[in-house]
Amino acid sequence: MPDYSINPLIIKKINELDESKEFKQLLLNLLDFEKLQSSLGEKEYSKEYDRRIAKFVESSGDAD
Amino acid sequence: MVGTNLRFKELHIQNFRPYEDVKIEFSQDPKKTITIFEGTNSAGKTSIMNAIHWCLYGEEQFLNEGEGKPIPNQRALNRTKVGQTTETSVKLVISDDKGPKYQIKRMLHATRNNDSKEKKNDNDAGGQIDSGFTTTISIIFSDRNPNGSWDTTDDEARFKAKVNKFLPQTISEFVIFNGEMLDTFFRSENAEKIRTGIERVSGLPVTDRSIQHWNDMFRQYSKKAAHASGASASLLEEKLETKSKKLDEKKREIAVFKRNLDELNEHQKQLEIEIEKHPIKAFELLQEQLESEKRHQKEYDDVVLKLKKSRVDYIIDNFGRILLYDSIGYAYDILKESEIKGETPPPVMDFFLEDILKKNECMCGTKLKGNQEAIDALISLKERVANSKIAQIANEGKETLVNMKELPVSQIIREKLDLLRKDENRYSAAFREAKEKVNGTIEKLQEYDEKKIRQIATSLDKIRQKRSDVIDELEINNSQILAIESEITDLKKELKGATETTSASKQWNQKRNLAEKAHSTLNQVREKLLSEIRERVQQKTEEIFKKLITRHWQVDRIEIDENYKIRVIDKEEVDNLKTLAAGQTLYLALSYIAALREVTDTNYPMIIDSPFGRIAGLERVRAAEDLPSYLPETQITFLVTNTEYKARVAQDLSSEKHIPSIKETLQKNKRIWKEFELVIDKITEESSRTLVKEITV
Repeated sequence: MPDYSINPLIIKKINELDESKEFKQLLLNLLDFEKLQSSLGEKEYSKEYDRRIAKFVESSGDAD
Repeated sequence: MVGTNLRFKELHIQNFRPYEDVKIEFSQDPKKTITIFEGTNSAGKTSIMNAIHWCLYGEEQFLNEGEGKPIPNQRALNRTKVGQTTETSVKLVISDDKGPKYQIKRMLHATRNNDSKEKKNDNDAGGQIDSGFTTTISIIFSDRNPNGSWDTTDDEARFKAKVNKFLPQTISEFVIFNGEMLDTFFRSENAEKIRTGIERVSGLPVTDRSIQHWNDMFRQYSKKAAHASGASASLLEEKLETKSKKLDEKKREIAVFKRNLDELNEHQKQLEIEIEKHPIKAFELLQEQLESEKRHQKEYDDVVLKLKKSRVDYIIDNFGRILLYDSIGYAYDILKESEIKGETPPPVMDFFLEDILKKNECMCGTKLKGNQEAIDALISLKERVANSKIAQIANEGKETLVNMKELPVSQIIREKLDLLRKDENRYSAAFREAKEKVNGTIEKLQEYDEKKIRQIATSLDKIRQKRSDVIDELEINNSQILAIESEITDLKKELKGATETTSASKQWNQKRNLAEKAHSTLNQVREKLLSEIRERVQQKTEEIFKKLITRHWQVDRIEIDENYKIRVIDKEEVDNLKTLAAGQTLYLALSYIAALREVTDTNYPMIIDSPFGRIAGLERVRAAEDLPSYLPETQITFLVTNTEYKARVAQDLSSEKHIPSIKETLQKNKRIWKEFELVIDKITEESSRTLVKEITV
């Protein structure tokens, strides 16, 4: 099914970034989330972003 | 999104505008991809496009004659009795390589509640209907699952989401479009058109939402980090946020100014090229030159006239002499001869004879004494002379003639006249030279269109002024941005100083830094992707455009710059976009649309109303030949008028050669699947309907 909401090249380019695997995965996961949940309220988005960011920070110990 | 071959398969229109119940099929043949619908004006060509658009998006795209008139078929509405409902519907079946993929249906139900014939505006009906009607809209979207079953929904939100996923409304203008409007496609705000086109097909909505959400998180975490660090840090954070918003606002303003400046630069460049062709300074110099040459011409003319007058006056003054000079010589000779012959008395005076008689001796020495005969003769002569004036007259006449003859009159007059004539000739030559110069300058001036030159010069002055104003505004805004950035840096330092390192603030800062990094990384990825797509669209547009236009050798390249400004650069490095002929602009628009489709690797169908309406002659044939070849497997539907489709134009008047019609050209290339005629079926004097009949070839 054609999908004009996300260009596969974005995913390819994120995967090619010179960043940690975890950071790239975080970006991709949140893109996936945006793709599947296109009509949530702002609070729901913030909640989900915060949850995933907190998990990332917790697992990495340092954001940077 | 990638590698998809979508085709319109079937369109079922019921009670929609001029159509009562019509099923339309579109080509599914990968080789014969073109379907033709031919009809006169008002037959219902545009209604087919509007029916598809209404079915997908709930609104019509091309309103012209239909504006204000309702979507439901008028005869169907008139037939509806109280208590009855009339359904207007459009069902569109779209297929992919495996067969029907989507079935989309939109229905408008109009129920007559009473007989009131008063008119009311009805949004659903898209125009004015009897106030006795109430209307409702319903929709159905079915898509085929991988296992072949159908997933159907009648929920409006899901319907919209599904439609927008495979054919967003913003993309539809590259699928269903009016060919007659394409020649103006790049006439104004072309950068915006290119930008939106590229951004729309680049598949960015999800990425853009994520970028926005990362930014929101960054702001939230910044606030929380400050809050966790104490009241003063919180206050500073608030200030920082306000400044950051102000900075964003200024940057947006700057972007607008920059776009304006680009437009102005472009406009100024065009005008400078125009004015170079007919420079105002050269024109004014020529005008000055003409005035000076006219002045010289007049001066020479005056001198020539004066010299001519002097010569004529001189001739008049000396006319007698000139005329009588030969006669004088002749008269002198006659007089002398008559003297010799004795016909004229000798020039003897009486006192002279008296003297001889007194001395008694002739002047030759002969003594007169004793020669009485001689003395008598002399006395007689003396008396005759004394009594006659003729001798005196003859003498005087002879003397006058001698004087006149001996004077060098002829030579002087001739010399004087020669001198006058030479001067006159010299000045006449100068006059002729001046006249030639005047005529030459007038001819040169005729090559200039003074009105146009003045207009261009005025426009150029205005543009330069505007440009200078915009540059001033940009400078002011830039310095304001620098000031805000400096304030932000100070605030950040202050905030750092005010931040107490607590475990809570440390955690928020970690999250904030992560959100900032993610936001910036996604933005960079987005920009890189857009830049690559822009370059590919540019290359493809150039490739297709050069193949489509007849004078391709004049075009060096197509440029789409980082501001999405499209330029058609010729061999002399001049942008020709604004001076392209209507047909060429149409080709450019089609090339750009074809490039977008190719770059996104999505083979959507194309429906074009009046595709060849704005092109004539050989270019029209070329378009019919070449355009389908650049869209090899694209399903193309042309909605054409009879004239547009079948007219054979004379190539030139002398030979009887004709340029083949679009129909002949497409038939020759074996691209036509089927041709249909839209027939207006007149039912009564007031009402008619459109039928679709297949034309048997």
